[in-house]
Amino acid sequence: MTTPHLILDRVSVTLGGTLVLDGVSLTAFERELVCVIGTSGGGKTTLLRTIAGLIPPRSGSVSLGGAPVLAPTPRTAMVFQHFGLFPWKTARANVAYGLEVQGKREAHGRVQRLLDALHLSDVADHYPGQLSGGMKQRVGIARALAVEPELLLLDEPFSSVDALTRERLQSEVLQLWERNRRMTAVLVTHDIDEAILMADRIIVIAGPPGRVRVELPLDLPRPRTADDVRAHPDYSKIRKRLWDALEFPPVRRAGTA
Amino acid sequence: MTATTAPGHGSGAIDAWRTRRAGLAPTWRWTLRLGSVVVLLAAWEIYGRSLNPILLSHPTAVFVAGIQMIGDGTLPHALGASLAVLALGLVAGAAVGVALGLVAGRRPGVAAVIELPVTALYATPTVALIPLIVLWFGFDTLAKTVVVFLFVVFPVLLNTMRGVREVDPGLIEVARTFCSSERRIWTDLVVPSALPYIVTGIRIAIGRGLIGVIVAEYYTALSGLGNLIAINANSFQTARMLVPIVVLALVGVVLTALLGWVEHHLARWRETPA
Repeated sequence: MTTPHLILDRVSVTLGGTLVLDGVSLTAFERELVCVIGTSGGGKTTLLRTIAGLIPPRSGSVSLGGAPVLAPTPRTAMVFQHFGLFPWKTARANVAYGLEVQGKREAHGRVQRLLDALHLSDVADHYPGQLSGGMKQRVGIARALAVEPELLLLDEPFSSVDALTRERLQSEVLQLWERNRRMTAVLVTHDIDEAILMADRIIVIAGPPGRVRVELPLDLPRPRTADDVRAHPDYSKIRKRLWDALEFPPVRRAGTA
Repeated sequence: MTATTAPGHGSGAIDAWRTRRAGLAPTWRWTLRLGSVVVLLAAWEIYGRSLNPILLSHPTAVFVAGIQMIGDGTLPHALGASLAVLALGLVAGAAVGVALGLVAGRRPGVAAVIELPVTALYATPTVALIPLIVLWFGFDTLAKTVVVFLFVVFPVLLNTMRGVREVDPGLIEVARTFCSSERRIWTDLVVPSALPYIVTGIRIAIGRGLIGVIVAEYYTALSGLGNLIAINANSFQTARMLVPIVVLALVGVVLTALLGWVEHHLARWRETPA
């Protein structure tokens, strides 16, 4: 966990002429789980899409394992806020999708293992339209894990499901993560508690244009549970620190919006 | 009767309400479907018998004429000729329409190139082009196929283009993050999401194709079902004239049903709620 794996060096991104990210620098070490939090419109998703190679930065650079990221790479996989499942593919076929397009047919055993691990075996032959939001996101997570990426990107993965499902999914993903720890991960969220629960390090981005406000390493003991984390003596201190960082948006006068 | 009305009153009302919400029960739907045909035929029979048989025949006479025309081979022969033209024109039109529509939907350059010619040709009544088609392709199967093709290709093309443009950009992004090749984007994404539009295009094309067949058979060398209609009309044999018309209607119904069956099997995922 001491080798830098993902490095963003003063990355600026403009979309349609608007500066969305302004000189964002960030390092994720190998097998580290970094949470990026920020308010909506602060550039979090743009940051993730830039890391994924979907958007070229206007200036600055992104590198993964020493190689510059200029386009999407099979070493990275992404979990999407709105699941991004193919409605005409079954759960099983969706999980296998990444392996299929990347020509990793020999790794098909993983599909069944992940269906089991994410409690999807019973609905493996269902289509996404027949699944609940929580189940859909399990498929999305399994699809990303199936390609065994070096870098896993999660774009608000739990924000499109109901509160109870969210807690359950969070702790399941946390357990999966803590048991395996094979990859580096960047999770984008607007949920402070989720970030404290999951992260090795939290980065607060506020904008527009998105800039890094605070970078906060967390050394809460693992394995974690939501209860342990909330009961930890440092919890409210960390929480307040993050809140303060988030409540630092540029002052907008009435009438300028 | 009393047994069903008295205690069943409440549940009957609820059942009716459920039926209205969930759509008709299959037995009811078929009863109504076939019932409407029976009523129409009965009305035609009664009214038709009261008229001069030259003005309007009636179903039994048409049926008898149909049996005769099957027996002497005229109907199967004509139907075969018309179906061959329809099949060639439909397949060619659908193939070109789908292929061009897929490419044009995904490549704005191609769309820009074909836009004006396609709009112009679609707006031109195809019948007006027949003299030109005859000059180029003669009077026989090729010319007739070209006419059907022109009737068929545009609805398929325009619907396919529309379908490709409706592809969810979010899913394109998913495909890109997983480093999908362009070819796989087509098979995983573009074709399946355009499929309902393609089917709609083909459904319209079936109706237009049938028009095209008859138009072609009237305006090039008389042949097929169009020929049967024309010669029987000219000799005032109205019952025999109506036989090929009924057959055309049946061909339309069968082809549309066939398309529905194919769509049902290709798009099982759309019948969602478990």
